[in-house]
Amino acid sequence: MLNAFQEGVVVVVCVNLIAVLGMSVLTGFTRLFSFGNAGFMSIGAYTAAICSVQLRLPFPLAVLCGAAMAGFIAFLLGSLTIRLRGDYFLISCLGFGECVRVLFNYTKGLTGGANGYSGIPYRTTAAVAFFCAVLAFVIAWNFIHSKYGQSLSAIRENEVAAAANGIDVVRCKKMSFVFSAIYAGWAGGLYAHYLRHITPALFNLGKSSELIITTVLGGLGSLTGSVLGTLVVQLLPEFFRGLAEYRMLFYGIAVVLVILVRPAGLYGYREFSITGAVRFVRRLGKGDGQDG
Amino acid sequence: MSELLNVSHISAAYGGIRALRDVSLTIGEGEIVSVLGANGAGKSTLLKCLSREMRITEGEIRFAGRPLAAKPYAVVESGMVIVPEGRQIFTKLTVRENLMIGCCQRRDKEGIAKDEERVYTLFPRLLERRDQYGGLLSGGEQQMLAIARGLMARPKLMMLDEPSLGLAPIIVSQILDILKDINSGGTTILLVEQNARKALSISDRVYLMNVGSIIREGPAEAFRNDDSLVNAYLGG
Repeated sequence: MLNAFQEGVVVVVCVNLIAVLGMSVLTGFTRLFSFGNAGFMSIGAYTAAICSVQLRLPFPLAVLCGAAMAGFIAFLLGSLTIRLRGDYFLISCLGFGECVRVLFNYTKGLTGGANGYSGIPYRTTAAVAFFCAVLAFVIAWNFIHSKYGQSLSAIRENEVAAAANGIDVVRCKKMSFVFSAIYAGWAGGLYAHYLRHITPALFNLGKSSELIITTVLGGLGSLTGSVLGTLVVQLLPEFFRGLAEYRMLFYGIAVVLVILVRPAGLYGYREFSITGAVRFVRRLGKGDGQDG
Repeated sequence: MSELLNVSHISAAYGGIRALRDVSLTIGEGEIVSVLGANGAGKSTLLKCLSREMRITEGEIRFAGRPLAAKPYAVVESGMVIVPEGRQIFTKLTVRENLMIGCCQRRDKEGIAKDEERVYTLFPRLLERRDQYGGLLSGGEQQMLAIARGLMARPKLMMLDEPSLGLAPIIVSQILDILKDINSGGTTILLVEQNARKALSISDRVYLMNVGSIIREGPAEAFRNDDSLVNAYLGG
């Protein structure tokens, strides 16, 4: 149905989308910035790979273990760092992400060190990745529109008022952090079973910033915006393969442009709605009729 | 009248600077009690201590016969809610979403629906603006929303920090009237104000604060008739 190239594109987009959705909940809805989510992806990828190769667990279970492990580590880390404010929290995440990378470089016996971990079976087909991405979106959507999700938005808007109205701010923030880590771990597990060979350098600071940039581009506080952002960030480089070296440069320019022109991101706080789109198209149609 | 809140000999400090010294007060069920005082008297600090946003260094707070819970969210759960200074509404959430945050700990759907209706009866303006963003409301409407949001937790005791701040006198009077209505519905009210005369007009009892201590207390009539006191400490 799809050739290898198309299949690869679908998998990469879907895997990144899952990680970005987690980021969107954390950054877009709770306003916590993490530059360490690639670290959680890495934990998810290695855990899933080891479960799959060494422990011979079936693929879904291996990915589940990867996601659970990432969530568990986030819970421990969050217990220590979630009370930090603004930039300090961001820095602690950045440090964590780098620590994970370096750690996996050193643990040669378990992870293969810098050479990477190979022999992972190929399981993440385009269909599997797509199914997971849809599932991830549905879960995130329901989470955001649940009572918990509303509490997160309240914390984003005004932490003092949120606490005054009976929201357990620390618990909610930690929950959002663990949620994003589980998503990152999930994405990492899938990614490992697509690449079949993973190295710690795949999940470096560049990857973390890519996740953040995608979320900001799509719009903080919009899940559909995150989908759009992922499509833009992942697909555009495919069309401009020759310029791949300049990828980070374009990210930089894109972020500056968004900040200047659309500070709320491509979608801002709104969600894409089909009725809204239909209304927009109708209005366009009417406009044409009058002009013609 | 049974005692709802009992604050005994509490002190609090910002760093090394003592902001509250040996403050004691009691509030009976169904009362409206005002804490008055000039800028820097420690009124807001007192409320921060009561909502557990700030730690007390000495003393004890008891609410409804038990020691007060230690965390802000647990205080709300136990039935004590604060309407913070400067309104602090959620500007990018709609009016209705703001109200729903107010009852985020409750699970009784019917009770919530009933309270929402009650809040709209008290503040018809909020019903008109139900689906607008909080940030689009006028100052007075935002204050109404902040009070309404507090009510959604169905508190036994509602504490308000300067609800008159930055509002036109006529709106202040409206809001105080509504506070009286809320009180007659069974909610005890602790009002912290600089606007002394207005606050006196609806209060049962008054505490007067100056530089971190309570310097006088008594029924509101005594204060209403004592112009020298009002002029000396309140300038109202």
